[in-house]
Amino acid sequence: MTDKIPPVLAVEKLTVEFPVGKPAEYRPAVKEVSLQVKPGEMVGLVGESGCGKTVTALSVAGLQPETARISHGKIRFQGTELLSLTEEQRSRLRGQELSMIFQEPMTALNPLMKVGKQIAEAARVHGASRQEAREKALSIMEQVGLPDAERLYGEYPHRLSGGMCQRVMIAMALLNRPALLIADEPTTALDVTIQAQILEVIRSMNREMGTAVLLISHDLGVIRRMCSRVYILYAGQVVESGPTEQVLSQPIHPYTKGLVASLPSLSGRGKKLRPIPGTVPPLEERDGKGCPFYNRCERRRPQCEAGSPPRLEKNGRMALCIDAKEEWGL
Amino acid sequence: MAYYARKTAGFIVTLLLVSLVTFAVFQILPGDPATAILGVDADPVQIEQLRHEIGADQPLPQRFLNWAAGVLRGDLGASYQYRQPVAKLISGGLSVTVSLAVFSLALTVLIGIPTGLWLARHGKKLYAAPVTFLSQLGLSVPAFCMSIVLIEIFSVQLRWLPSMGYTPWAQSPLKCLQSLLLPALAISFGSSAVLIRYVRASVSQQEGELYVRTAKSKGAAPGRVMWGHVLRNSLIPVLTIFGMLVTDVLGGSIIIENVFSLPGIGRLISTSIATRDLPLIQGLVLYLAGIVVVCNFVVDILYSVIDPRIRLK
Repeated sequence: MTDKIPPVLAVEKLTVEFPVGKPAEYRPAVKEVSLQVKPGEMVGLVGESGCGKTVTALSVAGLQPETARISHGKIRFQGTELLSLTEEQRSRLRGQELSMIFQEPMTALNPLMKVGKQIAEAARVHGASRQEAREKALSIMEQVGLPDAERLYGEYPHRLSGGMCQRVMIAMALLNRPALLIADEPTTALDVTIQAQILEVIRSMNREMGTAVLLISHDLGVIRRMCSRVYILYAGQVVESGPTEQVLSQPIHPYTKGLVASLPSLSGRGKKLRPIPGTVPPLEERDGKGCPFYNRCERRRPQCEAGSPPRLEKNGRMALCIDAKEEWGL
Repeated sequence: MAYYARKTAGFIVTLLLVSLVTFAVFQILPGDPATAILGVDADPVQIEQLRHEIGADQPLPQRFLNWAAGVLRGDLGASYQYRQPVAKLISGGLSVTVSLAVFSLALTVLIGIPTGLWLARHGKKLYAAPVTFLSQLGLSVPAFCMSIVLIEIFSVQLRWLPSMGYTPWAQSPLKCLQSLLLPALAISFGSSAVLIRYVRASVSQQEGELYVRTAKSKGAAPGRVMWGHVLRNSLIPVLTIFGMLVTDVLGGSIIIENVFSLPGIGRLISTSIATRDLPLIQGLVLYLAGIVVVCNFVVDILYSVIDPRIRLK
């Protein structure tokens, strides 16, 4: 069974807090998030803006903002507890075993450094010689589909398109063949046609290198195409998770249902899209009582306001909602 | 190529305007060079004769054209006061002033950039407070005040360094540096404070940029992130300030040379103004303006060296 294989990444009840207001009071932007990524697997993390996707990803990589406080939880990566490592040890892991690509490829690259050098730096900082690093960089550049790598090596980022910049980022992240790639909204800033190309690069790298991918996106369509399993994040909490097809075809949590209903599909042309009313509550308004989705929920009941929703599981699926009880017959 | 042509044209126009303005200002100033040289009690006939000799009796446009024609031939004329070619007088003083300016700017960079970097990292800590305080002081205390403080400490009390005079580099490099150290410190105290401020602000700003996060995500250590990524990006705005500081330091050295009795251009300027020595002033202004324009040109080139997005067109 696949369950026996130890996960590359296992996040357990991770809570990340930020100071809010004056006097500063810590409020969780990520609350008791648990998720797993198995070797070679592609896992999606979905949610609206402000729901904690990026904070989760950055915390795993150890790149969270300085104001953030990881108040509890565990991040086990290849069996090592990351939160107990020193910054230096984590830095050695980054780019080597655990890589990350970001939302804005144009601004994520150093404007004053040649792209080849930036890619090669990923090898240099992990001990490769200048020559070795250059060769590695050129080879990975070709693998991610950067044409004419020799010439491109000496170009500066401003001469490249957004799609090319993202390929550069991917090349940089995958140069050391990491066990896990965290892709934080890698295609959000790109044109649709380029989006598809970039996703294809990520997918083929996942197949060729066996790099596991945690793909973060607000786009369910992207997740559906790419990921075998998905975690739905709302207001810092995982509200539903499971195999992508099942979660999207039979959503349990009203938030997931809302997301699916607001997803345009080619077959449903002419059908009205149903947006979810309201927005994710800001950090200041998250008092930690009751269901996080209460205010926007169509199926809210009196007990949802006061008590925390139950965390129910069945056949590899999880939902943070009382509805799961009836639907799954628990 | 067109870029250099445009720059050169700008250079010539600047020099022309600067000398026209100096010439005009000089006509407004009361006082007559012949009277200044011979004294108020001199024989009017003699004064008239001297005026004729130095060409002060010719109409204004004529005098300017004569002077400009001389400049084009490479002749800056002769000083009224010293009765020597202006070019010779200036080249004597210029070596002192340029040495002082280069020394001051080197100190400014050596103090300003590391301190700015350090403050960007540690500025909010309590132990950084004295450094912040000193740099605030540098911004507010004028260089001549600083000179007096430095002379009091290092010349009068400790007797480590001379308070006046200049030894040429050719005679003794060590003595030359000694004679320039205090004036250079006095100048760079203020200018490095300016640099510190800008380096600190610029580094702090760059550290929040996304490419820094990318560099960290590659596994680059903090030192590598700073030296390999942040520093170079931070230098772009700092370079602008540095270009202005060059002008500042040159201006400052005029006063400081007087404080430390250094035989530089600064001293020549003040005496030439006092004696209404027009050819000497014109020559000095031309030189200084030339230096400033050339420095700005160098800064422009440095921009394109640091930032590939800026290309010289």
